[in-house]
Amino acid sequence: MNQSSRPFYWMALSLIGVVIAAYILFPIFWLVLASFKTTGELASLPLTFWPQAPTIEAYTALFDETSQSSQLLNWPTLISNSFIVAVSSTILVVFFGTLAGYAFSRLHFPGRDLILGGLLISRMFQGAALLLPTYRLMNSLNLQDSLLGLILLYSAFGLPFATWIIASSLREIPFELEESAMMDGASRLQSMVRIVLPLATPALITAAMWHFVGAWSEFAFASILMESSDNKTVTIGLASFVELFTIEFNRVGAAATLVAMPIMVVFFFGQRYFTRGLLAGAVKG
Amino acid sequence: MNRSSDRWLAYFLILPVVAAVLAFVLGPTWDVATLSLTQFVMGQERGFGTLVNFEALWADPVFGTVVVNTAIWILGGTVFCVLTGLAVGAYLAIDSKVTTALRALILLPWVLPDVVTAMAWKWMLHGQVGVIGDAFTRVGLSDQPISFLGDPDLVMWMLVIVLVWRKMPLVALILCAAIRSVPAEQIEAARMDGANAFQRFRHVILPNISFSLTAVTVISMIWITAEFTLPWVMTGGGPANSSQIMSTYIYQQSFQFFNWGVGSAMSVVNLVFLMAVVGLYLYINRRSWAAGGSK
Amino acid sequence: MKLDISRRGFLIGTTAMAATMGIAAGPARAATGSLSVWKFGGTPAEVEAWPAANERFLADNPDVDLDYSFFNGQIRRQKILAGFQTNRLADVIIAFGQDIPEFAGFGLIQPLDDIATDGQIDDWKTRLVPEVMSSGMHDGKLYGVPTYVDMASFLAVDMDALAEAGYDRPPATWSELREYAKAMTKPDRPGIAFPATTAPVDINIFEGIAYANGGRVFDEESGKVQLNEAGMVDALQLYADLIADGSTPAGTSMTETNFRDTAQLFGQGRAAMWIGLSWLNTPWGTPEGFNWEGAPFPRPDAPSGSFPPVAAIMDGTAVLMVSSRTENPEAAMAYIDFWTQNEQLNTWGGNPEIARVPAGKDAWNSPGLAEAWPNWVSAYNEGNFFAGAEPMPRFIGVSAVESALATAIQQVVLGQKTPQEALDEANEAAQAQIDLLRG
Repeated sequence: MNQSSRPFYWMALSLIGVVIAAYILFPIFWLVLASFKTTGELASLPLTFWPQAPTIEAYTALFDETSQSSQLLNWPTLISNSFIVAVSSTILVVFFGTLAGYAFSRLHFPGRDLILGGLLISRMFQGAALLLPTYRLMNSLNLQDSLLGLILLYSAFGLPFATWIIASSLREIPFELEESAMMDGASRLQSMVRIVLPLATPALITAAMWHFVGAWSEFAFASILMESSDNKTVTIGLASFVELFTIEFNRVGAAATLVAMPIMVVFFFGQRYFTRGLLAGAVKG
Repeated sequence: MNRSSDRWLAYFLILPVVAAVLAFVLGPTWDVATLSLTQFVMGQERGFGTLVNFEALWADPVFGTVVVNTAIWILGGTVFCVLTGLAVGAYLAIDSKVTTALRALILLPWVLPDVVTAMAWKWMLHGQVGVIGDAFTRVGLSDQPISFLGDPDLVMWMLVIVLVWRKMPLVALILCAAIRSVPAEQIEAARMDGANAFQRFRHVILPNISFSLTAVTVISMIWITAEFTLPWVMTGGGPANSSQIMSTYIYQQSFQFFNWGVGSAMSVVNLVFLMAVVGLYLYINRRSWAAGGSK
Repeated sequence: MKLDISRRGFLIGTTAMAATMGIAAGPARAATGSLSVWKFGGTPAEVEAWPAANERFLADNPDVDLDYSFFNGQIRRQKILAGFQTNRLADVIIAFGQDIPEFAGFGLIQPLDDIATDGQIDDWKTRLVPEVMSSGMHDGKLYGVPTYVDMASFLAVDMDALAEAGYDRPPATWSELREYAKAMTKPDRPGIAFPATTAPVDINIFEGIAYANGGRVFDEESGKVQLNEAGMVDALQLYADLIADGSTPAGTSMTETNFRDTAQLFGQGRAAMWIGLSWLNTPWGTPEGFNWEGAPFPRPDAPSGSFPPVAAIMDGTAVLMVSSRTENPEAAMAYIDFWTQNEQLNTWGGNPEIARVPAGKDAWNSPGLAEAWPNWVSAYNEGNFFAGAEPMPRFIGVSAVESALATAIQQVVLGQKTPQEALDEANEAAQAQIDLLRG
C-alpha cells in the first residue's frame, strides 16, 4: 500500500505494531508464563513477571496418572476425544458443505438466496437458550453422552458458514472452465471434481480450519451433553479448573498451551490458504 | 443442460445441510418457541397457550437493564470489533516485515477456547491480584487498584474489550485481505490527483471494500449474539446485574431459577429483536450486497 | 487453630491413610448391578479423596458396576435438571442440602425411609451427629444423608494484627467488630474484608450474619419473602457501616472478590480479618508462620429480627440423595450405607484441607481434627457446637430469592442504595419470582 522509507514512518509503523502486538499477545504470553510458575509464586506478592523458579511441574501434573484427579480428568483421553470430534465433524462439514456450496454457486433454483441467507442466520440460534431443548433432542435420538452425537451437532452448527465460504469462493471460478470440460464430454461430477475443486482448495481449507477451531473450542453444549469421563472433551477439562474452590493458573496455562498446540500446528501449515479463502468468501461474496 | 434436472440436483446437493440445520437448530428453536407460550415451572407443565411468561418478563425490573446491556454487548461489540478491525486491517495491509509477522500472530486469540479466554482475562483484570491493575499502579496511572469487573460503570465495557480482543483479529484479517485486493491502479490514480492518505482511504478503499464490511459486520453480530461462555464465566451478570445480558439472564432463569417458560420467552424476544436488527442492516446496505452478490 | 501446612504433605497423608484403612468390616449384604453416581464440586482435597473411597466401596461390593461421574460444581442444577427431564438421572446424586425441597418438589429424589430396610436408618443414627442428620430431612422424611456440613458465619483473624492494635481476643459483638476493624486498618491494609460476589457461598456468609440477628429470607408458613424485615436490613447495615468506617477494601473490589480470593488476600496479609464459612482459610493453607485464628462471627448487640436468632446456619454440600427413578435402589442404598460408616465419615480424619465440619460422631474423636480445630472439638464435647444451629435457607424458589438478595448486597456494597431501599426492591422481585414458581 505504501513504500515510504523515511525513518519516522518506519518508527511509527513499528510502534503501532508493538501496541497491537501487546494487546493481542500479552494475555497469551501471561498465561504461558504462569504455566512455568509454582502455585506458591502465583499466590504471593508482589506479582512477579518472569517465573522465579521455572518449572514444568504444571505440565507433568496433567499427565500424572497416580493422582486421583487424573482419573477424573484424563488429559490424553480428553485430547483424543476432542481430536476425534473435531476431525470427523470437519470432514462431514467440508464434504457436505462442498456439495451444497456447489449448488448455491453454480445452479439456479427457486429460493436459492433465501435458503442461503436463512442458513447463515441460523447461526444466531445457538446461544444459551437452546441448551435444554438440544439436550432433550439428543436424548430422544439416544445421542447424549456420545462422541457421535457431538460430531453430528457440531456439523449442523458448522455447515451453514462452511457452505457460505465455499459457495462464495466457487462463484469466483469462471464457469467457462467447467463448461469447456463438459463440452469435452466430462460429466458434471467429473468436471466438478477435476476442474472446480482443485481451484477451490483455499476455500475448502479455510472452511476446514474454521470449523476445526470452532469444534475444538466448543464448551457449553459439550458440558451438558457429556457425562462419562471417557467421553469428555478438552474444554470440559479446562473449565474444571474454574472450580469455585480453587483456581491454579499454572495448570490452566499448561492445559491451555497444550490444547492450543494442535490448532497452532494446523494454522502454521494453513495460514496462507486461510487468508486467501477468507478473501474469496467475505471479500467478493 | 437441462434446467429442471439442475434444480433437482441442486435440491439434492443442499439437502444434507438443510436437513441438519432443520433438525439440530430449528427443531430446538421451535421447542423454545412452544415453551415460551407454556407455563412451565418446577419441571411441570401447567398449560399451553398463555402469555404469562411474556407478562412476567414485562413486569421484571431487571429486564430493562438486561435490554440496555444486551444492546451495549451486541451493538457496541459489533461496532468496536468492526472499527478496530478496520483500523488494524488497514495497518496490516501495509507491506512491511512488522506487519507480515503480525499477520501470522494475530489469530492467536481466536484459537484459544472461550473458557480459557474468560478465565485469563478475569484473572488479569482483578483489582487485587490482577496484573493489569498492578501495572497501572506501578507506572502511577492510578494510586488505588482498579476493580475493572467489580465496578458497575466499567464492567460492561470491560466485557466489550475482551470480546473485541477475541473477535477483532479475524475481522482485521478479512478486511486486510479485502484492502490488499483493491486495484493498485485506482489508489495510484487518486494519489496522482493529489488525494492524501485519508482521502484515498475514504474515497477509493472504502467503496471497494463495502461488501466485505457489510459481510463482516453481519457475521460479527451473529457471533456476538451466540456468545455465552465469555460473559458467563467472567462476571455471571454481576455486580448487581450491571453486566446481565440476554444470554446470561436466560441461563439464570432456566437453570438457576428453574423457570423455563420465562427463559424461553426471553429467547424469543431476543431472536425477534436480532432478526429485526440484521434485517434492517441488510436492507440499509442492500446496494453493497447487490453489487457484491451479483457476480 | 494455628496452621502451618503444605498442600503436598497433606495430599500424601490422605492417600496413605486411605490405603492403610483398606477394606474394613464387610457389609451386611453385597449389592449387585450397575450404579451411577454424580458428584458436583468440592474442595481440592475432597475431590481427590472421593474416588479413593469409591475404590473401597468396590472392594466391599465387587458385584456392583459403579459409574462415578464428577462435574464442575457450577453446572449442578443445569445437569441434574436436564438429566431429570430426559430420564437420565444418576441413581445417586450428591448435591446440596439447600437443593432438597426443590428436588423433592419436582419428584426428582425420593425419601430414603421408603427404600431403607428395617432399622437401617436407626443404624445410621447411631453413627451420625443428630443435628447434621436432621439437615437431610424435609417434610418429616429423610431425603439425604450429609457427609459433612459447612457453617456460617465465621471470622478469620490475623492474630499479630490484632495484638498490634492492642487487643487480646477476637471481637465478640457487632460494635466491637466495627471498633476492632477500624483500629486494625492501615493505609495499605484494610481491617476487614468480606466477599460480595454472586457466588452462593458469599450469599450464605451474609445469611449467617442475618439469621443470627433474627432475620430470615423466607417464611414458609405465609409463603412471604422476608428480605426487607429488620433482621436482614440491620445485618446489611453492618456491611454498609464497615465500608463507611473505611475499614474495608473498596466496594467495587469486594463485589468482584469471592470467598476464595478474599481468603487469598487474608493469607497475603492484605486484610486483617475476613468473614467466611466454617472452613475459612483451611482449603488452601496459609504461608508458613502466619499466625491466624478462626472465631465465630461476632453476635449482634441486640438482635433486631422477628425470628429467633440462630447460633449458626449449616448445610452439607455433599449430601447423598437417591433418584426417584433409580432402577437399583438396593445398590444406591448400599452406597449410602457405605458412606455412613465411620471409615468414610472419617476419611479425612480432620485433615484441615478437607475443611468441613464432620458429620460422623466418631470423626469428632480424631486427633487430626482436635489439632486443626481445638475450639470446635471442645465445644462439641460440651454439647454446644451444634446448639442453636439451623439449616441454611431451603424452600422452593430459594435460588431466586438468594439471587435477589445477592443483588441487594452488591447494591449496598457499591453504595448505590441504602440497605432498606435495596432490600425492599429485592423483596418485591423475589416475591414475584416465588409467586410465579409456586403458581
